[in-house]
Amino acid sequence: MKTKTATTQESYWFSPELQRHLWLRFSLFRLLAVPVFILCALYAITTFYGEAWPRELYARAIQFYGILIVIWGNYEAANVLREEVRSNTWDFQRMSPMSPAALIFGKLFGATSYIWYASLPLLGLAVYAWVTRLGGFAPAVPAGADAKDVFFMVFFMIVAGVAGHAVSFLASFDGMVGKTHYDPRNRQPRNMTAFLMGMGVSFGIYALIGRNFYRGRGFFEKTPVVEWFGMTFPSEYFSIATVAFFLFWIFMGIYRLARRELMYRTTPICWFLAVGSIALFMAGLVYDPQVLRQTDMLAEKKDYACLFYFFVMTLAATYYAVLGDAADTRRYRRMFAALRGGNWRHFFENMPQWMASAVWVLVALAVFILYSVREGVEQDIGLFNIRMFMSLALSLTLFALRDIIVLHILALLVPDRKQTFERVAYYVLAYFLLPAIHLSVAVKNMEINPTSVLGFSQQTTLFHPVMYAGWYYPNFFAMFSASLLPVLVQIFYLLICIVVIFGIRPPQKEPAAAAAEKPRKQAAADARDDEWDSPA
Amino acid sequence: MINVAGLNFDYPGKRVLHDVTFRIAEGSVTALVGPNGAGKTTLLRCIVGLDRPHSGSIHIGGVDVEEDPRAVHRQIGYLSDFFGLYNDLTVRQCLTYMAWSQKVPQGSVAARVDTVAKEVLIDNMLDRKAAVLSRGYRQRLGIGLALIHDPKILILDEPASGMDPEARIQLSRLVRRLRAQGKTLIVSSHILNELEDYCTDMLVIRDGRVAKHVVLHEFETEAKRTLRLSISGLSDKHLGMLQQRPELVLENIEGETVTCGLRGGKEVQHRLLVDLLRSGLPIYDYHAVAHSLQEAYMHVAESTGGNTGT
Repeated sequence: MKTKTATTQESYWFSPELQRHLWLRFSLFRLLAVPVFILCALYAITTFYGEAWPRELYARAIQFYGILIVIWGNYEAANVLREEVRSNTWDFQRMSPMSPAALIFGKLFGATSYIWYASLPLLGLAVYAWVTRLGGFAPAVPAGADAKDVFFMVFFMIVAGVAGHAVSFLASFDGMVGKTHYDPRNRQPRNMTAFLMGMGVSFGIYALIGRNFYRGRGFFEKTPVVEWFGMTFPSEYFSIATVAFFLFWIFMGIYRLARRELMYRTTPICWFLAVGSIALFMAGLVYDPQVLRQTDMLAEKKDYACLFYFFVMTLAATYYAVLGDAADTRRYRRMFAALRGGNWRHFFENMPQWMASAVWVLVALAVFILYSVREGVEQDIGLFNIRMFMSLALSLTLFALRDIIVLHILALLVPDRKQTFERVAYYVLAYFLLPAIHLSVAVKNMEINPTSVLGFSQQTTLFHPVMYAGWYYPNFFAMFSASLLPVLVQIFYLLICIVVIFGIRPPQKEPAAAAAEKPRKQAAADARDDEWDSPA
Repeated sequence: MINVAGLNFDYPGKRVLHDVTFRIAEGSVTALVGPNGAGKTTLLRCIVGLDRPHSGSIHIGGVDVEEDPRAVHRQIGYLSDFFGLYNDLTVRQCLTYMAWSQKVPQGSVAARVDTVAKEVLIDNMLDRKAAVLSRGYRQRLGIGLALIHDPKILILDEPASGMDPEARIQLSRLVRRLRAQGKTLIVSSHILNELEDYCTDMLVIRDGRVAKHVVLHEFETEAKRTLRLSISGLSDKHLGMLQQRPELVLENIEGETVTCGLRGGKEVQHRLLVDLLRSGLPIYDYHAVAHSLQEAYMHVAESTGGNTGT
């Protein structure tokens, strides 16, 4: 029996959430407070500073704008979810048919609505002061302003707010969803980190680009053009495109999290595309002489550098995703059950994000290796040769794989805890204690001054103390046996550990998720039959 | 209407629901009872799709909760045990906001708000802020929010908690009215006496398992009742006449009042009264109390050997 429910013809964007925030934030007193404050400040500035008032007005307006947008705005954006969860109203929203867009729009712009109401007039005053009067009071700056400059200044000032608030919201949201991977009861947004991250973004754009724009477009004058994949763009337009690109992915990230919380079906496709496109975008910047200077090692082989950076960024994103995904062993069980049941949709819905971005890593690594072989592995690049870069890429991948396996073993061994302590203990042990003990013993026994062997010779043997680093860190030793063999051995033993753990702790015998796949269809059929049989 | 099959749910390191299977008929009012920590709230959260089970299936009105939770939400109103309100909004704003969120047609939002406010008896508080409401009124507003989109199924987790006696009676009446409208309800509560007023079924959860699913009117026919008879000039002869009745078990004698246990339903009770009057027993007061839900729960508790910590 399908129920027909009343739905409105309202816009997809109509947000009850925005309306609620407007009710909460705009009392008559608060509405009047802003114009009264601005008029008082205007009166004080014009009276106190006399003829110099436009310059002071500009400076104060921009400062207050910065304080409102950078501090208060990010505080509100980082806390809006926390308030919802703390007051136990989040479940009402999760069960509502509100669209993710309406929810995001309402929360993000609703929570910061009063800040925009207070700050946009300040921005208007600053522009007024700049355009009409400022030139006469700042000798280094010609009077008046170019319309394009005014546009850029206003654009970046507003972007400083929107981007920062969106980052605060995204980080807070991601923190909350990340915690529910481990325990569905644990819906606590990460607000302090989120606030600091958003504030960093807001302040970065505000301070570097927006604030001093009237002084002669300093940032854009210093860097008039940007080279990206060998193509040259004016830096203003490239900056706008960059901001638009990142804003798109920030909002896509929020949108995806909102979809998940509102119980839409989600797959890691968004993460997959985000990682690929952001890595591609960033890798393209190596063609810019400001990024990869002529003196840098890979400056003469920019295609190679581009490939290498793409690989490193996708690997870093994958590693970051594993930290959140590994603890949720239930998700793996559901994924494998779906795989056994041949339910591809469930399989992709339960696929951890790291697996999706690992596809990029593998593709990038394969292309990188093929490209290296085609170029000739002995070809020199500065002090290095291509073999060493290949070694570094493979070594990074294998060490990441080792850590991924260890994180999953920890999740299997201590499923009832967050594993924070165990993870920290592992990293300290693997990356600090063991290498420190091993290297100090080896160096002492061989009576070698460690500082004298840091020139990593290709002739050194596997048993040379420096080569012990191959056991503990990603490295670029030219000899693959020293670079890759140790970590391969570790991976081999870790895989044996997993087999042993599964041997000791066989899966529980109650109806497994795999078996549930088939009965699910039967139960659905039963439920439909019941509807017909129901006496009511 | 609600069909749960083989439901298993884990919190990290702990299985909370074990192979839970039951069906709830349309138009019924089911009491969900069990000791603290039995898994009642988790079960309700799984039913409404807020938590995702490890395995098993839940179908509501033929829709798989895991497959399409949003379609299920349109049929369900849910009030959690620790629900919150937007304290800085008025009652009217709270209801209006929820009506918009639930996509009640724009033209009928105001009317729906008024209807629901009257239904949950909060229409005299519409312009008060939620923050100043008493516990009972907050609970009523919570139920109003769950009802705003006129769901077919209403799931209430501890709705009477914190309510004063008058508010509890009104909640009872509200549940009966909702049942009369054809809604299906699941009510989790610790207060069996109140559940008894309006429940048609009882689902006992113990240690994450369904200990018993009882259809109360069926149980009632076999339930033990307490019968109080006041007999003028009570004597041994009278007591002997009562002891001859196989359906009666004498429990207590106080003055002229005899308390007996009576096994059987309303038919047995009626036949007994007729027979006793015909035999000339000078009865001047006859009172039977059927604690069917409580009896049923105690029966389950005794048969499963657990405590009755509701």
